[in-house]
Amino acid sequence: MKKIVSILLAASCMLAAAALLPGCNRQEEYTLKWYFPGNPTKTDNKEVYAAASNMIKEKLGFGVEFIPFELGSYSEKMKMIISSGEDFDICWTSPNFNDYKLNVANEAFFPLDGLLETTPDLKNLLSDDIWDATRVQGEIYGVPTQQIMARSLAVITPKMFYDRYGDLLTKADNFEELGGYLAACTQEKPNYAHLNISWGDMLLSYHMEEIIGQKLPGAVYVTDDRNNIKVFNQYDTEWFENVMKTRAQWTQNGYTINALPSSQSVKNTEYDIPIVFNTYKPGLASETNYSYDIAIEQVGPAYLTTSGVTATLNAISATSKHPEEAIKLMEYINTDPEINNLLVYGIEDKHYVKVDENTIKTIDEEGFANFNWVLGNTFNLYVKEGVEADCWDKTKELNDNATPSCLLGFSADITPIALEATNCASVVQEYYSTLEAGIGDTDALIAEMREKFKTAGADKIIEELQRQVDEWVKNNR
Amino acid sequence: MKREGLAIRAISNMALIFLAVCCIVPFLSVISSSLTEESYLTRYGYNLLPKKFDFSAYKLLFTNGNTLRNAYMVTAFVTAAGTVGSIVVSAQFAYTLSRREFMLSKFLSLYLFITMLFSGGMVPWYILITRYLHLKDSLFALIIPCLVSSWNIFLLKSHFKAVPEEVIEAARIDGANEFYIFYGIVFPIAKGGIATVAIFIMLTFWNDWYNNMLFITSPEKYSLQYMLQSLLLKVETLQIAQSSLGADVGEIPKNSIRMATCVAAAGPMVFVFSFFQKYFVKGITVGSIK
Repeated sequence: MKKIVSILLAASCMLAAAALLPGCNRQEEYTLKWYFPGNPTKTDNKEVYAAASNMIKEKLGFGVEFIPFELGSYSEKMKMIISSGEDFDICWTSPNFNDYKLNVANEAFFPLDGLLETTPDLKNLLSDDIWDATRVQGEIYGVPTQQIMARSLAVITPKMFYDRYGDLLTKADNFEELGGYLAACTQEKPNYAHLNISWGDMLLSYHMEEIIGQKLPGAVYVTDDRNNIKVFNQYDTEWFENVMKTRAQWTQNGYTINALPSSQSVKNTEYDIPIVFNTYKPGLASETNYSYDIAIEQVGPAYLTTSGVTATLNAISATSKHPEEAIKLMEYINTDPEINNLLVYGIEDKHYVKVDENTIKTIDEEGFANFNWVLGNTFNLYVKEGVEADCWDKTKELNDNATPSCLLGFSADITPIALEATNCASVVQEYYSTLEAGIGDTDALIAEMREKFKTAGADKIIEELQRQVDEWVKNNR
Repeated sequence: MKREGLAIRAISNMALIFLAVCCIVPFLSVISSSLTEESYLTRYGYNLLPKKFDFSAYKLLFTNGNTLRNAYMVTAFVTAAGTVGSIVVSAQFAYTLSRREFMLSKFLSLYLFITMLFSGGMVPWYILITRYLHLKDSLFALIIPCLVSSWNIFLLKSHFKAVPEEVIEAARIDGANEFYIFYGIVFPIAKGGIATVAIFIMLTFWNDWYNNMLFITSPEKYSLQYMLQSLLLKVETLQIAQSSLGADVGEIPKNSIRMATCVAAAGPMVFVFSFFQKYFVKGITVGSIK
């Protein structure tokens, strides 16, 4: 009996001590919690994040717990964390992962307009156009990561062709005008090319923007007058017929191979997909891995769109007890190259070595690596060896010179048209790859596709989008 | 008469053979793709027999890996501890329900049944585990939520009901206490049924990746199934991320590696299953006679 009592006593003493400990210095000691998509399995994560936390502590007086999740399960984990009302400070968000607008609608994020007044350096980092694009119901809820925001069409092509016929590419201003370049390449290797087209970026080369993305009906001319924006179904236009006919013509002329493109993973063998369309960004060449040398050319104008700007944001949680500190932390990471590089590349001489002032070579990517577009300003980062040294300057220039789309700041709510969107997506999927490959009877295919769109409810999508756009225009005047 | 029997037997055999083929072919193709060289996979697709044998996927999987060994340990521990724990809890629960003289048995049965129909919902469940039980990033978060399943308890209850009441009475007259009656007498008699339920439970624990995804943050506590799951998810997210962010997300895991992980994750259970099979068939038939 005595023994039990003494054990109980000891236990209660320990409990009391444990309760007291954090109580003593509650005033000064706290750490912020930051959730983001990264690589939780890297072996030196603890070391690097501890170093970063110490650095922040020295500067701002509080530590930070960085918690990376796999990108694949990020949305689901954040959904539970946010809806359980967990106490955290910052999380990464985007339209496709951990849905930005939905979280704002659920009041999960802290409005930032007031806070940004206290951090002028952060506020001035980005132009007003860009801040405005993150506004929901007039308030800013997320800090965009400084990275490529302008969207335009890029052509990735083997260098051997580019060296000889590159001027034909430079001349081209939209998708169809690429025919000249293809014809020239064909003289050397007929029936050779696969075209892998990034649909949204191709539309931009015609000054059009998809509203709900992923090839779904609903587009506008980005050059529309802001008071008179007209939503239309891009598949119902003469333009679409023309492009697809041109595409089919290319196949007939033997510019491209006469078959459906095979799976994406083939891109490493020399005989497939020498011509790929993608979102243009400086430094793209070093991020793609082909078994042959490639060249990249931007085709057509660059536009600033909502999806481009809000692609990667960091938001402060509504449950945060330290929003003022959280915004200071974001300002620090976005403006200080040292901490930013540490969080992306790891520790110098352990995970990377400096080649010169601004260029580095990674030596231990198993030990540490992060996506560079998540936590902070990519323009402050070192450039990896092999990437153009002025990559970030060029990106900045591209962002600054991009024309804002008339819909910049608008993003559609697809819940009222979710069913129609799913139906239309399956229609697109049915016909798209055949049309994209330029095989089959184009006229008949397009007619069939339009017929199916009617039953799938494409008109309802256009109507609803027009209504939302009109409302947005009215509220923003 | 005889001929008719033959026809029926032929048809039912054909149907069973067809079903068996449906189950076996995909599994074979997974095994074969895991043994095929990557470039052959992209060029010729999946085959039932590897076009060119190649063990590099397995080599990479096993040499690359503290992670895989770790994941095996985690899964093995969770499965073992979970199965034992779950059997102890469920069997004791089921046994008390099966005893008629127990006053609350009707009420508890109803209580259990209600949890089968209605759940508290995802978010409250998550809050309970992370905020009240403080199990975030703990292996217990993988065990405790799956410990009690009403379905298993009802299954066990029917097995315990099959034990004649006379046996229990006789034991009591001989001076056995309740604890001994259960573990010394009833438990061994109902062994077949318990083994059946045990394998259900074991599979639940072995195959669970969702709890791991929700609650675990440190990579040394990843289970085998979650590793596999995140490998597969990576391919999907990569495509979304590339189109929406225009960003570089890293390399796509190769097909053969994905298949090899799949085999590594499913393999042990295939053996366990064949070992338990004799109990399995018995257990199901015992349940069905009632």
